[in-house]
Amino acid sequence: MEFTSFSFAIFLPIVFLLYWFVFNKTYKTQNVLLLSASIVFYLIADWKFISLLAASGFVNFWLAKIMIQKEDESFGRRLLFYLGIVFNVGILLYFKYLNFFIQSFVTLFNYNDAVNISFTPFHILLPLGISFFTFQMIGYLIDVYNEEINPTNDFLSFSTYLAYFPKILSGPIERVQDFLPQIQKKREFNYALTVDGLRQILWGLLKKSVLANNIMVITDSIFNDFHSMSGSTLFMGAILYSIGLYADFSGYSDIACGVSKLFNIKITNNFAFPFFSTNISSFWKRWHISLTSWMMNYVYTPLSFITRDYKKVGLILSINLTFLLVGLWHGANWTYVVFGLYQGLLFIPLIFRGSALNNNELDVNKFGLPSLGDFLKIMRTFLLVTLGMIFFRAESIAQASQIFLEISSSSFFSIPTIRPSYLFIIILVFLLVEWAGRTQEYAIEKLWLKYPKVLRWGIYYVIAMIIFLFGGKEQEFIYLQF
Amino acid sequence: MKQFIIKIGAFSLLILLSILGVFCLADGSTDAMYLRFTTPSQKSLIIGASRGAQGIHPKEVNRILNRDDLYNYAFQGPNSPYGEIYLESIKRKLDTSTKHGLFILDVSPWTLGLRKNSETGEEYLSEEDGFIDNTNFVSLNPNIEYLIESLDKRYSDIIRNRIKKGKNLTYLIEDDGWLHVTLKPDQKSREYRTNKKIERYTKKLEDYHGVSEYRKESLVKTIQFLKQYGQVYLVRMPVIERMLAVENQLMPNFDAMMQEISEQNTALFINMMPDRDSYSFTDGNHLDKISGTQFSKDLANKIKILQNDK
Repeated sequence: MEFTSFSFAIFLPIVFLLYWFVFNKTYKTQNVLLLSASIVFYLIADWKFISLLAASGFVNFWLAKIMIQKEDESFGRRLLFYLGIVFNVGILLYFKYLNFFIQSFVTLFNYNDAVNISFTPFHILLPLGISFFTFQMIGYLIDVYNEEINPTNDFLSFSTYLAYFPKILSGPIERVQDFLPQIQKKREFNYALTVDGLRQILWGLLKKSVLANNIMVITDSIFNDFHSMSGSTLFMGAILYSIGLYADFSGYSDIACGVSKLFNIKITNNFAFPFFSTNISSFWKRWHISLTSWMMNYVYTPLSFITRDYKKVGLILSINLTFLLVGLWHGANWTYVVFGLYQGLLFIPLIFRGSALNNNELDVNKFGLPSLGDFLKIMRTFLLVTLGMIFFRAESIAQASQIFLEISSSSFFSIPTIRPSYLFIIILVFLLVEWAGRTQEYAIEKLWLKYPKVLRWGIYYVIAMIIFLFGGKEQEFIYLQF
Repeated sequence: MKQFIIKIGAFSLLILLSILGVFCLADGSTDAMYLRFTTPSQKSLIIGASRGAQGIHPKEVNRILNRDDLYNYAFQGPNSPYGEIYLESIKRKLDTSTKHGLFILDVSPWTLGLRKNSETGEEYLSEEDGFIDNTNFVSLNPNIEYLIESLDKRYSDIIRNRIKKGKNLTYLIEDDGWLHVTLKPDQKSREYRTNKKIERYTKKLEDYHGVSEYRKESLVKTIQFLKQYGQVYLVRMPVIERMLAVENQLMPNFDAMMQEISEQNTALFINMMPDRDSYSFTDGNHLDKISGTQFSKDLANKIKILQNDK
């Protein structure tokens, strides 16, 4: 059941009404409903792996509880902690990376035909949301082990946190300390937050249905036939893909946050207008925020502590290793590894300038526009990100290389063979609205709030009808595959 | 809370009514299939694939045979006609009160070919989860189920196509179910399309492995079902010589097989392939509009002779 499906449009109002009218007695009854709804949601989406999700919740809940009872720094405590990490990473390795690692190993051995090993990949299905819920569980165990939080004794709330339907399929990767306190008290209906949630859902749907779905049809036709495309067409395809991916995933994220607000629960918004970043560091603070925060907390920070004596070299190493994992998190393919490494390399000039982790704020003039310098920096960052997206989109390194070769050939200066001018107009309008609302949680959060009610509702009506009329061919959210 | 429910209810209602309004605009210009799922159940049907959908005009056949009930329920697209899925749809569409129906089944080697899944080696049924499979209500107007589940276009196209109706519209279904296809009529475009089609169908041969027993059995089941309600005719429609050569590679004994199936099931086989030089085609595979009209007259006359002989 996807957020844009007809079945979800039926499912959500039913859960909403039950939540506020039937199960509104205590926080426990509210959680019972949310957990039940989440189970139904996951069963419809991927019934085969509901037991895996349940096992993950059960094992991590009990491991954390038993682990904390052991003495600090004791062998038993460390053992339980590492068992938990092995369990979670093991799940991920088995379902997501086993074939990839064996295949890479075999390719390495077969190099130069020195040895000839054949390997038929195992038929392993990827459970939906595995990368998201596994990372949440790993984070939970680490935080409990480091005594940053106490393990919860409330299995119902913990299970609700794990399976919560707005975030189970594609995140955000929520931290237990941000989520649990919200669901361990009775939620009261909040009119303003509910309306805010609906506005965010509307904006998310617009991004996904009108932008992403229409863009992806074009980029698919370009990249699926990349052999016969000119450099200029491929470059245009890469630009469109960057915007399409953003519209797809941030659209998903907006819908997830909006849906959650309907239940008076706030979850992390994964995006903060990343295409208005003036450098790569700022970009990654605004793109897939919950993943980068997770990596920052559990990978980069410990790594930079270990490598602190090596100063800039240590920093380069820490950032590159972190981004290697960011890349690999997306999937079992060398293209993602290179994508991650590429992002890490882009940080090197910033490290030498001493601004690797700075968050550059934009200055705007009285017309609300950025300075020329900032505008050029925004364009440069977008261009660098877009080039990286070629690895993200390509099916193999060889394919990505061919695309880069074509882009760097003289055909780059030819007129693109595919020219979706209507799409560029839509994108331009979209970017202008995003720019106008860039200081908010999502672009239209407060954009028209000062307008008279009739006009405001009229605008929402128009947006809803645009989604209905111009929504492109239904396509799966890209991040569902991760 | 009450205030919120009232407001959101009113807003949702407005949106739903607007959507319903757009759905009500859907008609024969919407796509190449929709209208056929909106008309009432029918007493006489044309069954088959795109050749039948485009090439047999119910109006012409009705006129010559002095009837008014023949309806074109043949579909283009990857949905091969003879199988459980299409048969179920036919059962839903047929008005079973009739005993004197006319049923024209467009048959070709492609509709009975065994297509295999290259990965699993199992028979590939392209109609599974397709629009015929997903449309349970075949006589609903507007057909909300089809528009939500199967329409492969933006909903804005419903309005756009309706405005464009009559000019520059590739597909248009007439009220009798006939699919009216408008393509560039010049010789160069025809040749281009024909060459492309021959190339594609020659390549398609790689996926096919002779006769599908499932398709053959399904054809027989379809005949058996329909003959309870009238006379069944199997019709092999004409194609150009080069396309026939491709089809002969797939099923060299196709005509004999059709003859045998017809005789065994008290249906009648009309092979229009020998008359292929009398017609012109849009792409070597489908009759153009003028030839479609002529073909329908010729077919109706043959049916008339067969009916008189009986």
